Amino acid sequence: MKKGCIALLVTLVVIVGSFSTAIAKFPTKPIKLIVYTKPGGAIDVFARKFTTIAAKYTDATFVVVNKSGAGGIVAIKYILSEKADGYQFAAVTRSNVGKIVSSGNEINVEDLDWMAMMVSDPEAIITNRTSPINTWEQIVADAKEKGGDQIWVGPAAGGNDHIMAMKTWNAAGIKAKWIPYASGGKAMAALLGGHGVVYVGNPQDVIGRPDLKVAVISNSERLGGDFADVPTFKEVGIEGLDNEILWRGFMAKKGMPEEAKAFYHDLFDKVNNDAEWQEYVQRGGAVPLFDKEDKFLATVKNDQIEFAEALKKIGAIK
Amino acid sequence: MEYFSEGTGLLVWILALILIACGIYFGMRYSKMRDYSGQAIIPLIMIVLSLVLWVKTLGFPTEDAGPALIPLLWIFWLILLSVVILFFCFTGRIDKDPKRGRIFFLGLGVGLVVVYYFAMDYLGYFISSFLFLATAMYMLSYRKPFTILLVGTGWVLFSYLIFYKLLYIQLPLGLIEDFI
Amino acid sequence: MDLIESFSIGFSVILGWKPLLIIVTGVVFGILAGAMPGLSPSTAVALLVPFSYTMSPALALILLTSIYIASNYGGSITAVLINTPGTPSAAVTAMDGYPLTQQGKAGKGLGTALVASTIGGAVGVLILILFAVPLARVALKFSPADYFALALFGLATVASMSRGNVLKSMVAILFGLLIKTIGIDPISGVSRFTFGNDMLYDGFTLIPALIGLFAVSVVFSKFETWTGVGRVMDKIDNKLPSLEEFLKIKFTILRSSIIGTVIGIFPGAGATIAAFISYDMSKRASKEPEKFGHGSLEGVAAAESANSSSVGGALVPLLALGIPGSATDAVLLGAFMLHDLVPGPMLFQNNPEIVYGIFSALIVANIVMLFLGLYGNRLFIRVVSVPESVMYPLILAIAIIGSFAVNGSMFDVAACIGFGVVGWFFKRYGYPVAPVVLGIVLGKMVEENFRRAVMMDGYGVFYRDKLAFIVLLIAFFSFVWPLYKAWRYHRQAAAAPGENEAKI
Repeated sequence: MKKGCIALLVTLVVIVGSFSTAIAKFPTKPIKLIVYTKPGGAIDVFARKFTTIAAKYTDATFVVVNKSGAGGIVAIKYILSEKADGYQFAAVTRSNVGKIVSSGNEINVEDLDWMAMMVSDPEAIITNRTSPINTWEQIVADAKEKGGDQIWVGPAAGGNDHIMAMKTWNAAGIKAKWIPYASGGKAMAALLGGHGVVYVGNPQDVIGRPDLKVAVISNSERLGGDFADVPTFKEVGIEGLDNEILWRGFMAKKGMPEEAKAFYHDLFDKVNNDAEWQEYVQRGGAVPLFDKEDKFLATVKNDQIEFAEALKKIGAIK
Repeated sequence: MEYFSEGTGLLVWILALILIACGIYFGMRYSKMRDYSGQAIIPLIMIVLSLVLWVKTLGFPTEDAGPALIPLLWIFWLILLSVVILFFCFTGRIDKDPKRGRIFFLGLGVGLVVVYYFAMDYLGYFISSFLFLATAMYMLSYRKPFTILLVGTGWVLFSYLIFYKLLYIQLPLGLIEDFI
Repeated sequence: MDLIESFSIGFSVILGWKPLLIIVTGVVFGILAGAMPGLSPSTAVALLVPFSYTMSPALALILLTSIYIASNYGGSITAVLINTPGTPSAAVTAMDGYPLTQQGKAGKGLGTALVASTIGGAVGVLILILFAVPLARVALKFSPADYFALALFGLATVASMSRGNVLKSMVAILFGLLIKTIGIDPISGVSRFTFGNDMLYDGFTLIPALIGLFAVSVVFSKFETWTGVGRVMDKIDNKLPSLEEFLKIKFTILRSSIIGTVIGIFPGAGATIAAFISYDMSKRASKEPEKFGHGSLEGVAAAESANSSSVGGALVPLLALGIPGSATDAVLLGAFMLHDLVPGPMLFQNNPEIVYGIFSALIVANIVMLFLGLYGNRLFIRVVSVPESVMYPLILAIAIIGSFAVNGSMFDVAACIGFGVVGWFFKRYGYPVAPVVLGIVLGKMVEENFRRAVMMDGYGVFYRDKLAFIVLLIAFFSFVWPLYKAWRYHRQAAAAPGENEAKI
């Protein structure tokens, strides 16, 4: 009888045990990481870096899948069309939110699970070192002298960098012209060629391009490394531009199973604390950051409002 | 005019333009200009396209060197040149229409491609490609079953190995989604 | 560090069985991908970026640049044999290459394309190695007004593509320009003509449009004239062009190579525009301009040497400044970043083994390409002997998978079929399709730079900017001159009695 009891108990334990591991077992097949650009795009590099570092902490296989088109709308719609089983998640940046707004807010951000915001790239005012106008003071003086004819270059109108430029003009009380280019690279070429005075981008844009210089950075404190002598907006006497960032992170369709959620939270935590990851992020002049779920969603909603205002102002949406 | 740039108005505008274009075309076909009626098709399509896009530019923000400027420039020239070509069609100063070929057979071919396109979603790329190749070869009076099978299978294998496996292009899988 | 020392470093990177194997693999993949419609150079390179991730940085970039240079040649193979440009720039090659195949002289077409590509590629790389930095600096000085003028000059080449049919060519190019305005306007951020469909936000993709206009339309035309029996082309001649024929076109190749390199340097211009412009220039300079469009070896050579040499040119801004000059450059930039490298002046200092490894690899890749091409041509040419009733279904299958491969989007496949119908209509009524491609390729460059120039300096800029003014004048005359000649020809024809009545 006693033996029988023990045997029963053992089987029970085994059954329950195997059952619970069956629940906790995620993933059992490769996970797709959706990237909204073609291979070789900046966010593609970010996603692939993430998968190599994640490989240190999990046996799961990640497959990077590129779904390019419409500035990320195609990728987001793809995520929304798939099952919320946790086997696909996507890399996102703040500019995707801009696209959601400019495409008419058809996508409801509440349908998405904003899993983790991992990196923040501070916005930067970048100048040409070989031009006589390359510090913040010189920019302001030149702008006042030209009375609205100073030329700022950057990527497409209504994007992150354009909004940053408009905020900067407001805060500094200057006027200038925004001349958009098809890509950041082409705009930098225009700055190098002397066709514009200022380029708005992120610190990583100047890496490996010695003629470019970060004049001011939008961060509450100075960055380290190569950017240690770049002043912040507060230091040059401009208020309210301490936290203009281009964030990067990950999201999925809302409603994935608990075990998948736990898997991702654990993984994002570990990668975020990984020394190689932090080194990779900081070398690009960015700041590692870790906002999850509700706080991330709040940021997204806030960005939506900001994009809507800016896009209305330039007439891109009604 | 702006009424025609959105919603029902736009639909009315497009339909009216197509009706007028068809009217001109059929008018030519049943008159002594019938030898030039085919030549009128492309300029008519260009004019309809231009006018549809033109009415959309009315909703663009108006600013100096704004988003409407360059499209309007192309639209202006496209309409102008199309009208000139139409004029040549009316006066017969243009090449006569080519001889009518096997339009029905062509329609069958185009139809097959369109069916192939929709079948990809349901049957998946591989099955529908095999069926398409076999049907198309049969349609073009190719009658060697072994070669048909070989070409079809060969193509499916090639696209699976090179495109799907090696290059990781996510071809639609359709029915066989759960088996691959 | 002098050049010889740099190259001894460079060659030490690529000598060894592994790097050489990688170059050969890259060239083979590049040729095949280039020949495959849909896998344009940028797509071909992008598809292999994930593979190269696991390699050492130098090997990875050697692989990718070998693919880049070889795929520009590969595009000519299908263009010559089946009138299906494998890459956008090969659309120009098809204009003379396919007539050669129809005349049973496929071997001459392929041979000319191969030799012209090799020489062009070599000239481009040579210029890249010797003058990268100063050339990049000059290219930067070009203002939006200058770019606009350059783009208009590109548009003016439409005149040389029209075989006495200027009005129809102009309608074709305007159609291309107009459909290129569909999508988000990058200057203002407004969405134009998308009718609420987000697949149209990026506008029509070039590659599916190209495949539809060139390849699918031909098959549709064949359907219309189908006689019920699949023919096999009776005579195929795989004879290469003779030495005399090569010597006759040596200046064409050299001139086109230099044009191609120079145009390649300008960010945003690229291989297709290079091919169109050098084709136009060669036709004007040629002693036999009437042969262009009917199987002129000069035409094939002009297009191919220009598009291959533009690779060297496009790498100039990327390597010298870290600014991507072409779509493929942008992918390569990403590949550099994956390996924690940033191209630009610092790369020459910190990682000379990578820069000179790439240079050396490009030289070797060109030689490998020549030999593989000579051997491969004998295989490729057999494509022509496939029965028509097997060939056309296969062309359609290739067109569809190729359009899908670009973005993985079914919309592109639909667009390809749609453009196939448009192309069939165009061919049926004597409208050339190459100008539509030219319009799509140049549309954005014309529009963006025009508006940028006006936003910066007002409308007066085109007259104040001396360089832009001169180029605009040249563009104007190169456009008007053929028109004038055509008009004079018509007037004479009209004046002369007989059947030769003035027709457009």
